[in-house]
Amino acid sequence: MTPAAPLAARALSFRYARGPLVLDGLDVEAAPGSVLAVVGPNGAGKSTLLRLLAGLLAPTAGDVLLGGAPLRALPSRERARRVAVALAAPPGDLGYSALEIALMGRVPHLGGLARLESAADHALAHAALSRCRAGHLAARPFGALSSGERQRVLLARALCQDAPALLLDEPTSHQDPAHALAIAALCRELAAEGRVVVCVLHDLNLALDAADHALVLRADGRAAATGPTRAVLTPDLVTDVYGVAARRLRADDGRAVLVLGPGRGDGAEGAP
Amino acid sequence: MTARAPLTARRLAVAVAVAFVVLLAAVALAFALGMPELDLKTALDDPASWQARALWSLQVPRVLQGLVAGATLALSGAALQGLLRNALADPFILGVSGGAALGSTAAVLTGLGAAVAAPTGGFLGALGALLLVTALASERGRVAPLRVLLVGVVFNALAGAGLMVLQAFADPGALQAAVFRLMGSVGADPSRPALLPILAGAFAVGLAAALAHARSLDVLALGDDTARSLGVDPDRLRLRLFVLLSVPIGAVVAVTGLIGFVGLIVPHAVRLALGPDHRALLPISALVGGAFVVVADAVVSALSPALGTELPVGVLTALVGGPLFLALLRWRPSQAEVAT
Repeated sequence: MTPAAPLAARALSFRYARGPLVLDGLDVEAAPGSVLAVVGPNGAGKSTLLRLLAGLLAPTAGDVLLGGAPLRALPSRERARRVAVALAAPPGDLGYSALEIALMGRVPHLGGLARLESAADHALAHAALSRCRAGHLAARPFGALSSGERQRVLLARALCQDAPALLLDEPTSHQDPAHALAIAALCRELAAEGRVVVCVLHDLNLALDAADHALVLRADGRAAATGPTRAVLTPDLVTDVYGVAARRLRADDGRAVLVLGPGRGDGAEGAP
Repeated sequence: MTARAPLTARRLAVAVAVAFVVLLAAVALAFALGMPELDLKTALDDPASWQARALWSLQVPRVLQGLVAGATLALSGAALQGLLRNALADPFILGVSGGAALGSTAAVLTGLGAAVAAPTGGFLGALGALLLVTALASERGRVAPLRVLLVGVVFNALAGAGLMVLQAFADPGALQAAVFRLMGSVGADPSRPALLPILAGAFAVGLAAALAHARSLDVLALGDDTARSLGVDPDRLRLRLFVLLSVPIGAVVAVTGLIGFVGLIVPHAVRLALGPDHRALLPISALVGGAFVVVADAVVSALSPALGTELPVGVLTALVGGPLFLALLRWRPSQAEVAT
């Protein structure tokens, strides 16, 4: 793994061809060793932001910087060794196994032309699948897996890329609670290894659990708040951004949890 | 589906060796069956005999043309399936062969006599068809899997109509040759010995291009965005391979006409045996595709005394491939999933 460098965006704006601004003047800071959660309502531009941070889209204005240098200036192969992104796969099934899918993460590290992966690459792919709780799926055809299993295999694919920055687009959206928690724990582990981890999440309690920092987007693509997760994800902000009532309760073990709805709440803390 | 280990150098080497043996067996069968009246021993012993002339000017070029045609069509089918993320893609089904037929026939009927005229017209027709069909089947920047098949069908019909228009204005001699050529026959024309090297060269271009991008074709299965994140530019890859595969498709269709479904049948069979990894799929499909058309051609020529006429080899491949296509569409629809 190349040494981790901070991934940042300055005054980042983006519009799709002739459309309205999807993202408007965002400043983002993702440091090695910490998990940044990106949350916000549907259509706020979270996935677009992730694609911009991965260098897959060109900003309309502003810059994405990796270690202070413009990300889009890197040759694409070099960028692929430094930033990995886990996205959903399109439908269509040519019959790859889960292990073959995970191994595709090694492509930026392979030599030219038709060079094959080494035993070390295979070991990395198996390890990545195991870390994503998909080790038992290695030999199964990817197309025959459930959506949750597929999502974990695609996460393993990104892990297998062994990049110092990992960008995850809703990695828990198809997971049952146990797997969602396991993936949250994995995000923290990956950050503890010194990586930059940016994670689009819908489950605010999972964000509280997994992330050190949070960036909250509004429906209009502006930042509502950014900072340490616990300081940012307050009932007031949740009500403000999502338009639903929110309360913060203290669980038996002392952890704060957000309870949402019903209706448009006043955001009072500790309400009965 | 059974568990299958990922590709290793050893497995790839074994697969290539086996496919070579299959190809050699196919060629041997073609010489044994293909020309019943030819006595190989006499032909080889006496270079001055009519047997030798028939062997070297008819049978050898015929086998080689069948081999290159099959290899090109299977290779292109496998590559197009990866490029379009659609296991039912095939040069014939997508209308690419139709475009090549139209282009090459136009080049020949307009009186361009040079040996390269037909392959060049075929190349332009194939490339034009590929660009047009994929552009028409695109939705928000991606090629919709079922729509591309429909557009291909319609484009084939249009190309067929274009061919008929051309033929209506052609003089009878040129017309007969053009019609016969399009029926799908690998029989060599002894008066045009330049065609075989052109075919071989065009195939080398397509093979080199496809093999150079084999791993990128695998990555495309993950979607365009993920491919980009792995350093593969999907748009550039598609355009490059469309152009470089149109070279051999155009040449093959110009010389051997419409041999359908080879690009569908062969990659499917190879995927079943070896898995979808393009680093194995592409070279093995080429070898097996060559063997397939050589055998199919030997079968039609062996049947010709009994039938009293020689069927075009394209009839045989369509009889095998058409039902397979329908079966895949019926029972493996996920391979051409409608984009969600």
